[in-house]
Amino acid sequence: MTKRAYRYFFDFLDGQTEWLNQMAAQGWRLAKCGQLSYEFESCAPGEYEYSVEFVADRPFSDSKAYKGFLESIGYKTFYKNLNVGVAAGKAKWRPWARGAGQIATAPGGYFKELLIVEKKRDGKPFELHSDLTDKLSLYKRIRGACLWSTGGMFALAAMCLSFAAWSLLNGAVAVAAAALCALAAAPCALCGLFWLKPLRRISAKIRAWEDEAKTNEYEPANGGTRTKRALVFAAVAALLILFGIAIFRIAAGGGVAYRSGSALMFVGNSGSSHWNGSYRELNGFRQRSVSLKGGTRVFAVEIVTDSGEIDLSIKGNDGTVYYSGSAIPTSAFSVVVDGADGMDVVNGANGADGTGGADGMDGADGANGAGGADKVVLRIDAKSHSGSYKINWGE
Amino acid sequence: MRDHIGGGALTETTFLVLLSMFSPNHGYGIMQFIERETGGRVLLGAGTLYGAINAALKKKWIEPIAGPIGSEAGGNKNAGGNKKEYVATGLGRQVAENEMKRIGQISAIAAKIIGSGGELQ
Repeated sequence: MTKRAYRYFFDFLDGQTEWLNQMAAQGWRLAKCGQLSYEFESCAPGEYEYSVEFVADRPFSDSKAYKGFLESIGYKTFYKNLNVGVAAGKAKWRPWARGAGQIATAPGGYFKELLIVEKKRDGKPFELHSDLTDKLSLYKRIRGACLWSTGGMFALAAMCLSFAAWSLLNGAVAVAAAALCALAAAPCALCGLFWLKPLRRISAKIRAWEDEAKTNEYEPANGGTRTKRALVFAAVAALLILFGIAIFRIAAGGGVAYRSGSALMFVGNSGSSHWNGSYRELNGFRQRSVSLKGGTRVFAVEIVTDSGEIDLSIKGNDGTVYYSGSAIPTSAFSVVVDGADGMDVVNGANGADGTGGADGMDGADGANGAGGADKVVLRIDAKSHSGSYKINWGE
Repeated sequence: MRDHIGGGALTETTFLVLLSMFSPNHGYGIMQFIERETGGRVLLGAGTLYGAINAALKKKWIEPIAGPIGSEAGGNKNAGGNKKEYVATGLGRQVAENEMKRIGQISAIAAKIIGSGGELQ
């Protein structure tokens, strides 16, 4: 009785081995394999077991000798492809391989990157590689192959996307063609993503083995699950710490800032006792909050208006309006904010008006507070304003 | 004593493979020899063995000889392919002897420190 299955394994070592062993446990023995197809014949359940060997790092003549060696021991072997496609007179460059193995030519070693090895179960574990030095050098080359595949796929996806974007912007190619390119990027990126899983598994093994190889020649009986858990713990701890720092900064009075609009050549910053910005042109609004630690805070405001309009308001979170001014000209003034109640605005000297217009406006008096804002919101609205704003409220 | 053949301690795999070839031996026979002699502690992988044989060949510690098919095949019905046999060279035997002396020295140090039954001597 025979059975056919169609599969492609991105996880070409562990994933493929696990699947073949599952089939063997159910009583299916591999009879033939193609690029995407596997043909099984029935046998006693668990009669055979499988291991997948990577041979793409050797020149083809060497992999044939290795195949012969394995067969002389009594194993059955099948060549299996890692790459899918059609090759005729093509040469492929494999930078991760050694010496002559770097060039694979079709038919030669092309599509024969793997060896599926079958052994009759005899109670002893089926390991083709038993010591760490051997495993490490082999797996490092496998990782190289994986990296090139993953990286290559992502690079291809990026190329397709950037070509699509570039041609759209330059109108060099019809929209349809650009869309096709963008679409082509998707399967490439997907392939890259699928190859990440085996890459991660292989890298984890290499790390664990390099550690073990510092003192031992063989792999310990139960592999390095301890290191993996430690890494996860460290990552979670780091994230929590970062989150905690963010919360602390907000709570400590740095204030949460919002804005919308645009700014041209904006230079400025925002801190626990100041908020300023200087620019060629500012549009839209920006606001931030300042916490009042009980008691009085004096906000020293300096506005420079070369052109356009800028409005400023200082409002407590209990609704009290401590200051509200619109189309403020170049001027400097102070706003005294008392947590207990709103205070009048104290006007500073009016600065010279850049546009040579009327004198600066007096700020509106602040209404008396209902008693007890613990936070004020500073808000600036600008309409093509050119100049700067500077607000300080140091202790 | 100075080891002028070069190198230092051999890996366990290399040493065992070398010992298994003091008489002509081949793939399956080598794996059986090592399993038997170490009482199942060392189970040599076929891939590792292949690499070890090639490494020893390169250093001229072993050399290939035309092998009679069927010697020590021992119940291996699938056996086929090119059954090359190998044997240790004079150089290989010297390397193995040096290794034996090195291990003897380490063993003596350990016995002195750890003692037999845990007593300090």
